[in-house]
Amino acid sequence: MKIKVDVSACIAAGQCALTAPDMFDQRDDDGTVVLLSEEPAPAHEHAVREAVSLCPAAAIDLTP
Amino acid sequence: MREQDGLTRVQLQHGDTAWLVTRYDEVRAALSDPRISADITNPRLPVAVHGRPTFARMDDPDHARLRRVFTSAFTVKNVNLMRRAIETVVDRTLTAFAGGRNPADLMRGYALPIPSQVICLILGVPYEDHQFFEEHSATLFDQGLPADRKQAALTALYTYTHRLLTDRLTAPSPGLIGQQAVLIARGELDLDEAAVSTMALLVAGHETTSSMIALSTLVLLQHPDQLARLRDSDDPTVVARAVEELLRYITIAETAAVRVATDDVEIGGHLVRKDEGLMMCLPSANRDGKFAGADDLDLGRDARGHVAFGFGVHQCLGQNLARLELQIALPVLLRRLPGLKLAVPLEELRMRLGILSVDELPVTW
Repeated sequence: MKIKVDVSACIAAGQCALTAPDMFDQRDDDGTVVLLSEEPAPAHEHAVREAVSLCPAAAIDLTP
Repeated sequence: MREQDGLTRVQLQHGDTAWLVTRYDEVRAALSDPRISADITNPRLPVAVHGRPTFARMDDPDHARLRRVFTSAFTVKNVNLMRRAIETVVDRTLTAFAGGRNPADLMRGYALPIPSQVICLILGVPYEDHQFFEEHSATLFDQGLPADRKQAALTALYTYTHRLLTDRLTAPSPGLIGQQAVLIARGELDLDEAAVSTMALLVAGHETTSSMIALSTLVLLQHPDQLARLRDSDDPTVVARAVEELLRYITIAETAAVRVATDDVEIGGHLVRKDEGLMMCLPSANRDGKFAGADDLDLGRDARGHVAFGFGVHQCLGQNLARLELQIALPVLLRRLPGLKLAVPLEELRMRLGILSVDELPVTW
């Protein structure tokens, strides 16, 4: 699984950082998404999928 | 209505029609579609009161430009840094409330002062002005009041935040007002726009969370088994889950998400034509079959994904702050006042619609 984030679409709601804190953070200056790792360890895959479905701005994409 | 269809054409008071969007998937689809606009200057938007537009009532790029001024303050990390300050506010407020008259109004004594003090801290608004801004905010949300009263309240609040910002243009000052004053002085932010945003944050920051604290307490008092689950757990994940479920179950923002199509859009098998209005029924979406047994309050369920904070680019800016305030304020109230109960029959409570709330919540313990 590979994660891609679209910072220009991100609205800094923070749902990803709340749901999968090991994979996502928020920038200090504007709260937009920071991807901590492009390939989640299997243990984090479920949380990443949750984050994708919770993101209000569809700013996270997964490729198998 | 929701069971039959996701979108239903409804007749509005002044003769126009609009779409009422009642299902979870359709609400999410509509709120995340860039052709569905929140622009309040569009005369086809089905809302009654037209004040100065806040960024919540603008489309991108203006919406994004103005929202971005505040996003850093409301990140998960920065909100968590407020935990100690919020705990102090909650503890002080609860100590005063528990030591005061019994029975008492939980709204005025607990539910309102907590978010009011917290948003003052964040913005840098003097809390001694709370009666002024609380009263005018209440006027904005009182559906029984005529439009001219609401307009007057809006003007008073706008004049107030405008003055706070102006006073601080020359002296460094704390909070988001100070931060905006720096941007204004540098020519990077417009003073009038900043005053509108600050007003919106001040109002939304205390009105909504106070409603949620009061209504959560009310709902829990009617579900003693669920109340016990929240009261008896010191596991933060249990508390967080419970708060998500209360947000879903209550969904105070009944009429906030109003939109207009700027192009023909297909949603849920219906063709919504350009210039047609849409009203999102967030409470209905949150009782959709997506949530099994949706009409039951179940603090153990995974209610994440609810649309109580809306969805799309306008999703609530302060959602992480609201979550934290509720996670702190609710369990401690139930623990410190274990005998808490309503002091009047349920039917005597006056519910306020629009942003769902109660005028008063008389309790005894």
